[in-house]
Amino acid sequence: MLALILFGLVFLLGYFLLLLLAPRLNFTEKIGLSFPIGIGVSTFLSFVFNIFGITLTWLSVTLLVGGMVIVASGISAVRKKSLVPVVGRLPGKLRLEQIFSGLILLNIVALSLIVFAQDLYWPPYHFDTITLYDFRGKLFASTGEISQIDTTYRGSYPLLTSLAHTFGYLSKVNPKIVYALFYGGFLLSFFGILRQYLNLFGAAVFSLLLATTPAVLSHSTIAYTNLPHGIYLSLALIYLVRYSVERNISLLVAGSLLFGLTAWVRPASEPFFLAILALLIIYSIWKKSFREPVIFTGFYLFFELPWKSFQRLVLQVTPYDQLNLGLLSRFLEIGPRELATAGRTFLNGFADLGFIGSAGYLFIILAIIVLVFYRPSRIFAFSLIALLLTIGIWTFLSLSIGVSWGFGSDWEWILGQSMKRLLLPLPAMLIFSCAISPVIVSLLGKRK
Amino acid sequence: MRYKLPKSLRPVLSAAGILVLALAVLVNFTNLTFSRSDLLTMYHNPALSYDEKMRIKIGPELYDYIRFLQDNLPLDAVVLIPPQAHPWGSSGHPEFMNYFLHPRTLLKSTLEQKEVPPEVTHVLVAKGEGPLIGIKEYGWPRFPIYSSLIVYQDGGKLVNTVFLPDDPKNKMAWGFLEVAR
Repeated sequence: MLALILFGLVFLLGYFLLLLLAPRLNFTEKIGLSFPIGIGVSTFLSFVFNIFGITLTWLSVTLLVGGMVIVASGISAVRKKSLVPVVGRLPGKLRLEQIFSGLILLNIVALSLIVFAQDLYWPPYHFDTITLYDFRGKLFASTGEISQIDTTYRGSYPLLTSLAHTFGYLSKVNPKIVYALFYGGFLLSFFGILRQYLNLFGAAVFSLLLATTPAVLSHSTIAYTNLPHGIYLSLALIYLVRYSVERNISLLVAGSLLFGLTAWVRPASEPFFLAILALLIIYSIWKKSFREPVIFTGFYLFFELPWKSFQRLVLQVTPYDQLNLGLLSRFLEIGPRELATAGRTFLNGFADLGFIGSAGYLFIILAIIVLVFYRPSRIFAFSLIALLLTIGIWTFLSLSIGVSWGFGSDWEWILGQSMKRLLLPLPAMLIFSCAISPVIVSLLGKRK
Repeated sequence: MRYKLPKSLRPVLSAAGILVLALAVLVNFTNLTFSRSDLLTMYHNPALSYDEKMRIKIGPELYDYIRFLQDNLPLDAVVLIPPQAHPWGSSGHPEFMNYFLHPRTLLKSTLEQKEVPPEVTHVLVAKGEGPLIGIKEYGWPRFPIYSSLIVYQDGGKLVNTVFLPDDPKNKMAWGFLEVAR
């Protein structure tokens, strides 16, 4: 019951924030994004309020989130946004397409329920969960204070997942259900995005591809930061790509808010921020508009600055991702061997059916067909840029670790473990690129 | 499209496209990562306790040892744990053990260690839960320690004695000792 109330309010907070900030997203997108946005914002606000003296208890957190829900819904009502979504009528007679689509969607629902059952049953036990994320979550729940973090290691990562675990412990429920809710929200929002471009069957098939991507599915039952980070980053890039074509401000705000949350879930968001900001500046010069970099930077700094300040001033730990200018010159020492190792790791992840599934191969096939037989649409071209950006930043981060640690066996081990997990944003971006490719749109496009 | 396709080819291409998508979905399904044993455990044992579930996931030998330590080590103990090396990959990992033993203070050790730091009140007696890789035998600590109390997980207790690392019983034992000061 406690969990139902608190997580229900988290969901509502996400929904009303989207209603307020990104009203032109469709209903499915809003519902799908409600939990990821809600848990990100509510954990962030809990963190801020704890700094100002509010002890973390179930009651204080519930009142805080509930208060924000009232404020957000009140502002929405004043701005005459309809709080109750308009849901279409059920069709009287089902077409074959709808029946097949329904069966596919049932598969997705079944997968989500299995994930939820697993997350409810098995306690947190994976290594990084025990050593960091869940340990902090339990500590915050038992002491009510975030400043109890006492080591550099425990202060190295932002607090989203740990505070989400705290919410779970305060609500007397297994905190791993958070990852099942992330998984379900991810699939629903992805389906809602695809429905803007594809018919019901097309959106369902590509959503099923995402749902069955091995890495995405396995991480839905692992209490690590990789799945939330993958969700926030991939959806952020997808929304920004869509904005670049459709110029719908809701898409820019949604993308910027989601990207801002990447800074709250994992460290080392700065390279992505700088690279995307550079592209947005170029875009804004082209379009003679300054709102893109301003909105994007605003949301990013909203989440990044308080946490970074807390690390340095309160915890007094050196951030895990602190840029050591003295090491910059070591980038010049990177040679073909190091690049080949990073490239090999990337390809191992990209081509690994047990990791990214068929998304990589499908993308290659469709990309070749599009480039040979079609004129790439603008959205397809921009999605390719987003993919290249992600791969480029991933390579930069991999080489940065080598610059810090040396390019020995430890570096190769890290590449194969945590850096491989950092490829989790790729499946959604690859599948989205496939779905909006001219080939698929001509086959399964939404009827005008 | 760059090239205009004959109308007769379009249904063929459509069918080929649907087939490719179906294949992609099939490939994903054949690589699904659900653990069959996890799902069977859930189905046959819906009401397992937290401890029973953690025994399955952490390993019974290590988890039972952790529970023994939780029940017997004082909360204000300063504990010297085994080195973070095979076979003590988990029992020698300070952050891993801290999850279960917090708020006790845990100090790391090394294989070459010959004495107990002055602030330490207790030392883990740990056979080692992992395989022997790069090391010849189980058992830690590897140096004699004057102990006011040695408590073994199997129920044995010794009072005011020296912990002898070469004793075959100690090499394979799990427990802890209270340092004599």
